[in-house]
Amino acid sequence: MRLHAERALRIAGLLAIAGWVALALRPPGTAEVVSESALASALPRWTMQRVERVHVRVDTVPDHRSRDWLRALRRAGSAVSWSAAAIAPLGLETIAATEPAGGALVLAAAGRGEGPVLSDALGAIDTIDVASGAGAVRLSDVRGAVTLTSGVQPARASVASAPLPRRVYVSGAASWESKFVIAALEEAGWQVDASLFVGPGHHVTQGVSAVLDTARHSAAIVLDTLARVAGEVDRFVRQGGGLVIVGDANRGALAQLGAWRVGRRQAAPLGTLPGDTLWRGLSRVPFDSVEAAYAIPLELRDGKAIVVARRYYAGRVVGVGYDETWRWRMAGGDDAVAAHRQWWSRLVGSVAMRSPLAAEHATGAAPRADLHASLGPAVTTSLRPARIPRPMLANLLGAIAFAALLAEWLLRRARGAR
Amino acid sequence: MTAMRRLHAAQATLIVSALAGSILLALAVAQASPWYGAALGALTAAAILWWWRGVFSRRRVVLWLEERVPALRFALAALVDAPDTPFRPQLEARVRDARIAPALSLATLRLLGIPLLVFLASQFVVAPLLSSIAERGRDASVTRPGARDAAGAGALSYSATITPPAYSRQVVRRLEQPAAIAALVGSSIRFAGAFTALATMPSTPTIYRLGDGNGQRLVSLEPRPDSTPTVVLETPARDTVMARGRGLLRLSAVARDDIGIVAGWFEIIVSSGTGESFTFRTTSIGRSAANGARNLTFSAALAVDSLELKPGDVVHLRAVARDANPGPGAEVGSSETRTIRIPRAGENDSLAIEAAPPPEVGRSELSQRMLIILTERLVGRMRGLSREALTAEAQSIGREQTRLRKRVGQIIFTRLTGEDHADEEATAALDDTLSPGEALLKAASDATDLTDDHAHEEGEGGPVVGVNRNLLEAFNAMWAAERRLGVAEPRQALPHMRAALDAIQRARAAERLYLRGRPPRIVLDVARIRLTGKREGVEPGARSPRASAVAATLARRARFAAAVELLATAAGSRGEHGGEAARAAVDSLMLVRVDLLSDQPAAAATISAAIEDLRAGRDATASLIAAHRALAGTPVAAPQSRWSGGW
Amino acid sequence: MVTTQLREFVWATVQYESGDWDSAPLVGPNLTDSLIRYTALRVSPTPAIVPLASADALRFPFLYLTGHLPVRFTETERRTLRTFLDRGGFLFVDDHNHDIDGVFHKTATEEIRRSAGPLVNLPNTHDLYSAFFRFPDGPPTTSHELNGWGDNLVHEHLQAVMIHGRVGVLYSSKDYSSEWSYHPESKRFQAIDNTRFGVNLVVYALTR
Repeated sequence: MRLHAERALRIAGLLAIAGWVALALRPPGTAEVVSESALASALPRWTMQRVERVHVRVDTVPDHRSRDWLRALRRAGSAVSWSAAAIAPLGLETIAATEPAGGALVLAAAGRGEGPVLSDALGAIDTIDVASGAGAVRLSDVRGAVTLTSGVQPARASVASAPLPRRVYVSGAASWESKFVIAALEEAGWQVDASLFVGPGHHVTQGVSAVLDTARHSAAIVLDTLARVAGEVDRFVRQGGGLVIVGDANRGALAQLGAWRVGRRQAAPLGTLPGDTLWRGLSRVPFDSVEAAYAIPLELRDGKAIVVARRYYAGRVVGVGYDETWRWRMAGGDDAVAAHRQWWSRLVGSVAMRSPLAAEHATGAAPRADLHASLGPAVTTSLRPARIPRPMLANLLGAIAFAALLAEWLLRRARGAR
Repeated sequence: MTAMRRLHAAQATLIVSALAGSILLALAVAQASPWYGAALGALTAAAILWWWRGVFSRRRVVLWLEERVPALRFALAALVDAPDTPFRPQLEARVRDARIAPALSLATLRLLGIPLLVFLASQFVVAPLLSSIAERGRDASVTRPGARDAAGAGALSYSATITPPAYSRQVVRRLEQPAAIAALVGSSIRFAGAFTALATMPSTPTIYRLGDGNGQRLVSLEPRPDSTPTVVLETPARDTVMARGRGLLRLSAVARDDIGIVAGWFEIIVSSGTGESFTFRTTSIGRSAANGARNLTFSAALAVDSLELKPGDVVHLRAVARDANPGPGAEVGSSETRTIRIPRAGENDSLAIEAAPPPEVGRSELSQRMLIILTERLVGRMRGLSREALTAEAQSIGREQTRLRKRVGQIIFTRLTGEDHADEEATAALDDTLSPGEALLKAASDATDLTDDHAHEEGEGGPVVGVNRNLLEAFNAMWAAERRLGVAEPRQALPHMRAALDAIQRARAAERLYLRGRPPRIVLDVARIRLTGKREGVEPGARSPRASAVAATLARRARFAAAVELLATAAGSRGEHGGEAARAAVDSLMLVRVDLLSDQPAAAATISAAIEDLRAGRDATASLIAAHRALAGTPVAAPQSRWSGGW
Repeated sequence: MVTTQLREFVWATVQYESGDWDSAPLVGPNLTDSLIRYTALRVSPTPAIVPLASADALRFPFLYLTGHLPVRFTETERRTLRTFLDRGGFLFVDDHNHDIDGVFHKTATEEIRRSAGPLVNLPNTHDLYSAFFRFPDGPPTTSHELNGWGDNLVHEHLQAVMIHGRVGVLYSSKDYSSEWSYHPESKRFQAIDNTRFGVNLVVYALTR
């Protein structure tokens, strides 16, 4: 009985050794199929063993590193294919806010179904409504990269760190509107140079330089038509500076920078609250005709554009028809001061000059599209991944061989034989 | 096989099995940690071998075999102890016949089998499980710190005894290991443990650092300010007009306070006078002691007669209460003020307020004031002026005074006669021995039925009569001033000019021609006067920038983010290093929380919840996310726009 | 109902419950006249009166308050004033009495402290004194501070409540209300217009 056991153990051990050797000597295979969880360990092995053909079954898009590695394997001669049961379509882009308070605008696209979850390095932020296929949210604070997750599929994008905004230049007559626009911008963290007309030959100024310059200023806000600044402003915007033209300043010397014509001032009906977002004060100047080929209406009221925007050479120009937003701040609701400040800061941020470096930063992600771009379309295959991964199989055979031979030797020695 | 050889074989079997088993166990243990695995494995192997050290001793093996194989009957032991025994052949035969193999097999199975099973389990069960957990952990957004480590395991043990200010009569409290202490401003706090420390609750939230060399702990001190009492004046319920200043006025009020009220009373200010001249009397009545009660109802009866009110007087009445707070900055609480007016004769009450322009006499008064200013300045410069210059300037002022006097005269004449611009014609016809005042009056009386006496009565009949007396005085005083100015004696002219002004003021007060209502309508012709002023000395100074309102918010967000990153570091570390990082993170969160208490209490509360979770060793993910949202605000859905500016 | 003046500065006098808020009705027209004479600011030729208890007060970021009698705000007036100042408004308070530490002064400063904060002496080198005209010696002295009318005491400083680094409430015991209470046409009698300091107040409020 013992002899039979010894013989059986000897045979088992030798078979295990043979299997282990055969596994080691076996060429990487005509096709190797792995699932996503085994991909990370398979990649180095495939690189060293020069597999002919590999197929990866994924549930989510592999990370950047894995995709690049597979693409490299393909270029090295291995046939790489992939298939997936279902990968959620997902697209993400971040636009860093140029306002001093920071933050970002996040654009998201996803398939219909449960809204994707937006998170950053600190944790989940919110679910984005993509009922129409796409959505956008404005985040006032973002830490690290932004991740959009639909089901188990994430998409990650970084937020380009915008350099500190430079100064803005405010020009106009001394008035409540100029006072409170400057106040809002300074409270929002902008640095302001200003020139406020008080009387002939007399201005109240702020800032060392009263000259508009793209080396110093990222945007200009013009509240009144002052012929003396028109030439400077045109040059400034052509060079990439941003410009906000408020109210009646859209007429006169600066009219050429806009692709719109200013209409007659409208006064709010009696009883209108100053904080009413339709009026943002108690008067507004609508833009009668906006050339659609050049300008985009950003706010419409009663069918008329009240805020319009356009590109002008390298710069951006926004025309604002609200000319008494100070009433909104002074007499609006409880959050009027913060809302007024935020509105003006965002407005100026939307035209402020941007750093060219920021444009080079990868701030978008579309994982499924990236996978297609890296590895081509999915391929269906009838092959299945091995139940036991090859390295584990090798370990197991080795362990069996060791245990069987050791047991056989021990039995023999116990019997007294050599 | 001889007995010794059988013994050697059995011992070798046992030794090899023990060695193999210890190696297998060492390999299994080494999986546990990538850094310390090898050391752990070696330690394990050494421990196992030490436990099985008996296999290396021949004597122990012999005794073990004798115990396991009773058939040996100590034959093997005898052969080992006495190899030269004469009974060797019999002993050898006994050893040869004994069945040692079963015992050996069982021992081999134990020494090898169990470690083999452990090794296989570590390969096929434990290792994959650990790697999947690590994978999940990398994807986790917020990591848990070493839970117990965050609970302030710096071994700092202390208690806090809070003694509120004596005036508050609040009980003394004792707290064990508090992380936050809320108490009345000025409370005394005594920390006791291995040390003693004293603190006083400040007026703004503060962090207090305790440490004794063994550990350190932050405690937030959160002041509760002592509120000012709220007082409601119940009667009188509204402003009142009393035709006569007589009678008894019932006053009642209710005061409430969070700590306790000391006293309540009614404060009265009586204003008398009109125009530019007022006098005031202040008094208080109905003082009631409350002895620290939180509610006090107090009342009084005001004998209005005692105020000796006259027509035109105004009584300002309010209820006041003081709490027990003896601090120098402690405010009294007060109710709204009620006004009681005593109308003047002929004065309409506020029920029918009619706007009326100020009388012409008002303009006269102001012009007279300016003439006085000009004259005073001339007096101040007299020494430096030549006689000619002084005369010229004084006479220039004199001419203005004349012009003004004539205007006043016109007013008097018009009011007396009802006719305009007739006074000059009338007075020109009079005997020039009369003073202008006498001339004016005579002219007026000639033109009307009013007698001189009647015109001089004051306070009776219509106000026109009373006005005229004062205006006549002004008229005469102006005339006296003119004469002085005409002879370049401005200093002597000043008393007359001031007397004229005084008279005009009395005339204006007597009329009381307008109450609350629209101001006098002066129409400005903007186009005519635009930029006609002398702008010498115009030098508008530069503006200085406002401070940013968001800088503090951004700093708080950055500190919060740094604290959360520290928590992530703590979660990735083990042992003391992780615990230290977790404590530092909790301390950072406490500092952010205290900073938020004054202006963002809701956000401070969310951070409190996170700190509690961390201290208790619970998963703080949800509370940290809530805190992040409170600090950063809720994301706002943005309209999808074609504008590349990100509007 | 106060008529809204579009895009123009309006001199607004505060109407409050407790006292003779209307004691200086000529100050508004006179200072309006000065603003038009010396500056190119858009100014409404008609001053306004606005109740402090009404939200209408928030439509006029510059308010002028004066009187002789005790100043006791209602809770609504205090609330409106707090909102007004928090949002960037400028309140100019002037004691129309020729006295020191009188009833108006005591009550008005108490109400200001409760509504806005403590009053501090404004340094005579403050921006206010160079906002338009230069006043190197600080606030100009009024005739009522000098001999004849009262106490011969000249108030060296104006007082202010500073809000976010700016003057939110400017308090004067110098009786500018009397100094400026005359018909604008009478300016011709003056060698130097004594309302110039008022122009500084408005320019400061409009530009800071």
